[in-house]
Amino acid sequence: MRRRYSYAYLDPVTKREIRRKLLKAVAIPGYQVPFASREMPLARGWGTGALQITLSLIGPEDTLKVIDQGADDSVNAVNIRRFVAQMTGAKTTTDTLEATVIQSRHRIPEERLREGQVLVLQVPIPEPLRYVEPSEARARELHALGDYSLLWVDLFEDHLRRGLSRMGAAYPVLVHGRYVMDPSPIPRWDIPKMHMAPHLTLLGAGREKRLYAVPPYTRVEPLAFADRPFTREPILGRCRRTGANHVFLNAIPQEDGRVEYEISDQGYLEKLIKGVAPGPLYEG
Amino acid sequence: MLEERPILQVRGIRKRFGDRHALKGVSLELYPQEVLGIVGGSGSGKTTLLRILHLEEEAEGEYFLNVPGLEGRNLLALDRYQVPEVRRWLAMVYQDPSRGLRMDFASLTSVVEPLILKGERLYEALVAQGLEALELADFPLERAGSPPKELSQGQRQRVQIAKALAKKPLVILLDEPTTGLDLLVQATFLDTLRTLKRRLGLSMILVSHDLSVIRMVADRIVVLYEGEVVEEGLADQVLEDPQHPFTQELVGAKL
Repeated sequence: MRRRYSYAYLDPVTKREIRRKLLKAVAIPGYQVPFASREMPLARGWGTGALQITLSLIGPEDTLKVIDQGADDSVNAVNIRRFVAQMTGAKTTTDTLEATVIQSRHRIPEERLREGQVLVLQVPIPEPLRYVEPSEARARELHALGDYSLLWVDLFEDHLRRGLSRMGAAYPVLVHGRYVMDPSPIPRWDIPKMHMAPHLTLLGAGREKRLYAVPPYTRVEPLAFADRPFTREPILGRCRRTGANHVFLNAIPQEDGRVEYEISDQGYLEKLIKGVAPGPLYEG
Repeated sequence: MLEERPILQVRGIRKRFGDRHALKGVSLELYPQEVLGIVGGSGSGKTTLLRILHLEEEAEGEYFLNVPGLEGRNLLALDRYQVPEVRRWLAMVYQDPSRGLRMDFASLTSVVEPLILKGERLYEALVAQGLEALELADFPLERAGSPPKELSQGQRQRVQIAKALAKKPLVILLDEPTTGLDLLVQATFLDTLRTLKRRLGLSMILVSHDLSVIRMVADRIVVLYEGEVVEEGLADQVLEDPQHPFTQELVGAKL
């Protein structure tokens, strides 16, 4: 560990600010708390919000896993993991069950997270009303009034035109029956994992300077008409390496125009290939 | 009809834009199942008056409407969080359909929007109620999925009427709904309005500069001139025997 920076890179005042804002976010599930997002040695939009949360929480006893679309070895994931390890002395892992803190972009791991684990999600656009209400001020007012009818109008239009919701990622969810939240661009497959989850989910948007949270055992319900229930995307193929079709798969286009599939959660895939028994999955 | 209590009543409405007085103390009533026509030239303040009635504009004066829970309250003194509750009971049909409709969304979506706002969360029920309203408005149902931007002006106005009907409001406000339509489309549109009024017993306020439009649907007429009511009475009475010089001019100028 180099001592040229404060512990965990951020100065103590910043870390305290973020922790306080996180407490507020946990106290008001789904509510977007503004915070003074700092310059990070990483471009905004590349996970600076989640990185600041991770850095303000992590200690030398922690074990960190960083994934990007399920992969532990993408450039961004590797960089963030190495950076946090250097700055904090925390151990790193690719095993979901071993990790105490998991920073993730666009996926929730397939193996069920348990109490005490913290999932930190990177969020590009924290405002679920952004595409239906261009004014930020008005959007905040709608949150305050609990008026989400604009999202329902949008949902109706989708069903009318396509017979389903076109929202493939970042499907809006109602948290604890009060605030509608953008769950970050996770696929619909991962949405049910948030409902009454035993782990703590923290979401950070560095560019937009917002953080919010889903505390353990909180209701997370996707917006859907009662007679048009929310559905996860169908699994269209089988993993080319394990033959599995019970978890979320990445589509990999081939040169001859075919599409092959592979398990998206790399940590889980490696366990299957090595023959290590994985932890329990979320109930489908 | 007149012995009934009015469902809508305004008293002494004043509105100023800078030092120009747009409305100088306008009072009027609307009775249940009645169509009130407001006529006036450009700049007479008729559109401003309608915007005030729809609570889009602030003004001095008193405005009462039989909204459950707000009977006897002056609606012009409400705070802005109570206004949406009142607007639920009012429907507005604009001259320019893009102000009332989502031009890029399916027409049916625009029609059911007020129902979603009211809290309906069953998809099939929304579709059924939306189609029913469109049918009442004589809108060709096979086009319910087309966005208004692909429709003709006359069809757009029918979508607006359907949206108003779906809302089941106390009062429908119409702001020059036929201006810009050609004469034939205008005639069939007004015919639909008349049929609806007869079948559903709607209460409407219709604003127009065109006496022939007003004459076709209105029971009573109010003539606005430079921000004041200069004449008021049963439609036939006003048209047959206009008292005020401006009304006389209007009636005389009619083709």
